[in-house]
Amino acid sequence: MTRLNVDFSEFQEVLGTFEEFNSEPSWAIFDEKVEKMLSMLSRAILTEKSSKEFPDLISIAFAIRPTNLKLYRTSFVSGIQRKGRGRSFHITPANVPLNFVFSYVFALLAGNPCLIRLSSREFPQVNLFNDILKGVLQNPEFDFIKKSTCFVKYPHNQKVTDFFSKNCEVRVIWGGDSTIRQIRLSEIPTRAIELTFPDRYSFSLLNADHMINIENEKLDQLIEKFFADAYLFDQRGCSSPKLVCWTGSSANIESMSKIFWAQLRSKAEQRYDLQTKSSMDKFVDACLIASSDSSVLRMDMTNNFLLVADAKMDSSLIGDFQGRYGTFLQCRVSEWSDLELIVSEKFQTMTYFGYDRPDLIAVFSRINLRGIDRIVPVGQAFDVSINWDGINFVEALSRIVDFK
Amino acid sequence: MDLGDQFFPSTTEILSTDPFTLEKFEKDCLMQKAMQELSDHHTENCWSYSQIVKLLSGSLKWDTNDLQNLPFIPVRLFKHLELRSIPEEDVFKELLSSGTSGQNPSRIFLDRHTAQKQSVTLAKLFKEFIGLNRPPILIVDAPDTIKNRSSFSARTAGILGFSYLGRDLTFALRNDFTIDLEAVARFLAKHENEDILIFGFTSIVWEFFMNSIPLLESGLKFPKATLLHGGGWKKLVDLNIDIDTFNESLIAKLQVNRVVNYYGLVEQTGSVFFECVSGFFHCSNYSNIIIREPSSFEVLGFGKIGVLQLQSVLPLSYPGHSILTEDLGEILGIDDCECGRLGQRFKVHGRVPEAEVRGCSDTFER
Repeated sequence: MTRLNVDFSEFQEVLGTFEEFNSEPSWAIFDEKVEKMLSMLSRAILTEKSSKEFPDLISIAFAIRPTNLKLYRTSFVSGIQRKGRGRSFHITPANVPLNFVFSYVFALLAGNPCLIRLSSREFPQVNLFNDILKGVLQNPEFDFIKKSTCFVKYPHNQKVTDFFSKNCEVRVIWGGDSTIRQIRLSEIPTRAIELTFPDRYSFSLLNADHMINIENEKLDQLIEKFFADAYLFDQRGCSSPKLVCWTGSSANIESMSKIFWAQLRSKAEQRYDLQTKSSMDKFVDACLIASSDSSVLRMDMTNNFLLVADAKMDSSLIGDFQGRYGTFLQCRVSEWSDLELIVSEKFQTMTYFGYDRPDLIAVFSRINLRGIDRIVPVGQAFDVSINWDGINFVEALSRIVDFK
Repeated sequence: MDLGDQFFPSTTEILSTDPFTLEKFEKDCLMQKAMQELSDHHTENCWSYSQIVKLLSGSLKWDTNDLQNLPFIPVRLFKHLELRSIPEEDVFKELLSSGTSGQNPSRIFLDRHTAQKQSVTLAKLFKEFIGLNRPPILIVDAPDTIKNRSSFSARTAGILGFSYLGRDLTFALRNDFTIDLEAVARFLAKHENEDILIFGFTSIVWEFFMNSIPLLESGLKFPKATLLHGGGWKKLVDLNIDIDTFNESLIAKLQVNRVVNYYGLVEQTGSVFFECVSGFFHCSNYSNIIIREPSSFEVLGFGKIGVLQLQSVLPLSYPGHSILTEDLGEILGIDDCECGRLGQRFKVHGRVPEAEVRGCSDTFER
């Protein structure tokens, strides 16, 4: 065991202890006990009354229901033995409160003890989740999972990060480019692997030809879903859309985009808590967009709840300018191959509305895109699954034992 | 490019008036013409500014014929863009102001005309409120604060700006921010029978001057001093100290004769706002202020707190004539102050509070 050279008072153990975590071995993927624990955790979240206030918590509970666990498990080829890589150290983002749960759950399914650095911010759903998890882990059956779980909090401190990094076989870094650069100053053992989640860009693809014919009720539902994808976490989630690409005839796009944005604006006026500082940030963004180059043709900022800028397809802002608090670029895609010009490696999630799934699958297998790791219907930008950023978590966090 | 007076007749006319002499109707007419003149000039000569006006005028209902709806840009834009309306070779001085540490500094480009108008205007306003003629100045700050002139803070800008209006500049603090008792005593002895000016940043005055134990124990008093301070209450608000406590405590502890607060931005150096005896900031003929509701940018009336917009006739070389600050303020009246000055009277209620940030990024954001 590695000798400790960090003062334990420099970090706070929120759940579990570092010492126990540090001495736990890894185990096989989709361990029965782990699956059982996650199923119980799912049920415990769904039966807890106060969970209903937090859609992000409910979404986690759904992702780890027994049926979903089975789905994840059966996606792996049987007959190949996979085991955890060992102690995993996760640096999770400060701002999407329950992102760490995703990292935790799938690292457990991959067979790894988990040391997780939580954000120092206080979020009610984080406290609620931790309480529920603590309760489930009391079951003596799950003793090894309990020992393999350690949640810590500490203010940025390279010495502590150095220490934790030295004591892991896997490091998972969320939080974008600057965090990755900062954490990489701390070395990991030569055998260890690292998963990183850099800054990404996400967008929506909307079919105006389809939308022009749908009933109001359907349109309302679309607006509601789009609003959730975009305005939850102030549009700052990496999978929140920052750009809307329209397909269809110019006439339909012209009239549908008007209706779409007008309704989104009134939805935001009713439902979005726009802080004064966010309005200030948005006005700065509006001026930066306007003065970036000549690629922006028209802008609408009727009020600060929504800002829409019409950009040419070759605008340097596309794929680069990260709108926040309800700031969108929009452009028209006339040919599917136009997407090849727009989509860079940085693109992560594409949400869509108004297309037949088989048609869309056919299109996206035909064109050659450098990016896009997720294609999901509008409303599912934040849905949790075993895959993220094009990576299957259980696969990435486990190793193959090659038996001949 | 020549930015001489002949090209800006309305601006020049306003600047030729004494600072608090125009009644609302007349002032608004003149101001509107001056602002239109400046907006046209910047639209013609600053590409970024013209793009902003072009693309945002529609939805924000901007109109250069209407003072209240004149285009405005956010003050923070000077940190992101190089905004100037003169060719590079005409830049006489570049002000670099690093507001909060870690951010890009604001870059303000001055030609000779603009720089000169700034100092003349500051002198006029100073004379009106402080009344002293080139007084000896005791600066409540450390000498190092103004040493690095290539990049300075709002604090440095303030010190340099006001120091031209006085003489025998003396620093009250050492570079470690402890009081330099010897220097202060020498300064007081030298100017025993003269009116003096003490100048400093509000929080520095509070922390290192009026609460300096060595100074208080030394028994030094300042009965002939006017203490001028400005530059933000944030620190004092955190300590729960209001303006009255600040003033009373200054007078009680150090027996200064008078305390005057000022409000101004580096982005509009020169047209600053001083507080009158009735406790209001005053807008001179050279400026106009507008309060806006943050989510819609609609104009708010008297007594309503909103985001403060500042218009000034001074900025010729950069498009800073109409800017939206990140400060909250409220207008309390026009042409009706007990102090007798015409113009808007207003209060500043500190910075717009920080938003709670959410999102996947910034694990280590503080």
